[in-house]
Amino acid sequence: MTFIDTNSSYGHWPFADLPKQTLSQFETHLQKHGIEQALVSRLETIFLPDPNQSNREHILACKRLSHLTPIPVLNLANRDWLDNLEAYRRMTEIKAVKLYPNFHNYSLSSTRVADLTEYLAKNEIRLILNVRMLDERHQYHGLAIKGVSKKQIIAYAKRFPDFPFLCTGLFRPEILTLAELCPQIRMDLSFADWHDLINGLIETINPERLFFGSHTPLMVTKANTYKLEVAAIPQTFKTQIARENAKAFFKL
Amino acid sequence: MRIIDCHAHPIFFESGKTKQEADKLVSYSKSLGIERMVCLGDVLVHGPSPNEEQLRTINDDTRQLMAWHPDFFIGFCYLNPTLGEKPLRAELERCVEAGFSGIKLEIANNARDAVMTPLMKAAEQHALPVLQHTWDTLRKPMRKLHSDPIDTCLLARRFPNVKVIMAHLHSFGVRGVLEAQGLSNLYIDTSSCLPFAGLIEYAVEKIGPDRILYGSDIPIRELGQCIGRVIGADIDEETKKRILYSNAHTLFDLA
Repeated sequence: MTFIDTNSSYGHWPFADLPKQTLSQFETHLQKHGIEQALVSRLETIFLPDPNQSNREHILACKRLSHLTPIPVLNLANRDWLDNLEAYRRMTEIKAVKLYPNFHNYSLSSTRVADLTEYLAKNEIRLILNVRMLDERHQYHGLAIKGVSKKQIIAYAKRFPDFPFLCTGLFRPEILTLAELCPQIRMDLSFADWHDLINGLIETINPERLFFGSHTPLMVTKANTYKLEVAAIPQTFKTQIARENAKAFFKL
Repeated sequence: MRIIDCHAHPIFFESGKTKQEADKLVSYSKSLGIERMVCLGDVLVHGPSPNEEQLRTINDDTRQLMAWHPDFFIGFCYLNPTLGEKPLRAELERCVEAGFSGIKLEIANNARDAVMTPLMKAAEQHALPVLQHTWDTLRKPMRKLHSDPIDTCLLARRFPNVKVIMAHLHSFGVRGVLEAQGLSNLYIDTSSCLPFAGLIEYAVEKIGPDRILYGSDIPIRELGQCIGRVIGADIDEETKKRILYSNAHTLFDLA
């Protein structure tokens, strides 16, 4: 089974002793697990007040690796986000940008988020909204960042009902609520958990809205590929969730 | 791939009680290579401290699953140590007679509490392993009921002749693994929480491959994800086999 990974990151996470890999080794690791294409951001962009230089280096590095699609991270607390995004677009074709509102300390109701949304819609670039990187119950005590609240996401989605976007890092109950209230939201399954998970979700959610995400390197890659591989759902749905939805949504 | 799941709740808040549901779970589990599953009971349905009657009902439900699938389910008797020695022994003996193979403890009390002594003596007498829910409670206001790894390891240290399974590796994390070092009667299970990377490798490095057991914690967790976190860990194939199957096979004496 092959996958398109909509939720992966490259780099060092300061609160876990994970293997140090080059970007090429990272690509090989994903391929070993059947991930043919991965939308990848740099982890350090979460912690840097200005992620611009890291994004630029990442875009250049990904040019040499055909299985990795660079996803720049925008810090909308910084006034130069648009200049940076336009510079990235001159460097390569940008399929999507990623936001970490709670790490970068801004609200989805801010004017800049509205400006970005209009820009992305006009230029046919997708938005990936990362809700959380860890289960808040088990975060390292020195890093207590809450997930983006459902309330904020719903308010944002209602404000831009014609703008589809992907939320990564949602728990299963959040997926169920958001799917019902915000029909344009797509969701990755990396943080979703329950026995017979996907069968349960597709009872009420169109499988077109569910995306594969491995959350590598923070999660065990195989845990999320295997979750889908052995799901008791028709093969056509598996293929859709594993790759076809992402392929169509991000025009890969 | 052969698997023994040492931590499961096939019945959860009354769901999963019918034969049809049990058959479906067994069939799906077997398709993934799961040969045996430890059934720990519907432990939270009556809150953290169930009474005698409620415990009997929960254990009877487990017994029913064992009757339907005797070659698949391994029953653990769910007990509440705060009820006192007499009712505890009565329920345990009833369950032992019915073929239960271990004791499950949840959040009625902390594993360091004195009320544990009669229970552990009974466990030793019947040579039953004790599976204790364990959570990282460091600076969290929950330790009265949730056992920290320090508490569960203290329990194992106080009763060296009882095999103690400290549940939820991905909850007690690095601190718990380090507490477990050098305790030959203490096992840890991989159940619950999300599959964050590096912990299984860390546990193998620090306590060796023989005291780690695969567990899922279904239905709260997804079986594929739980198995995937072990088969995707950066450890050798022999160690994966031990975690997924051999260690539990030996511990539960399934030969």
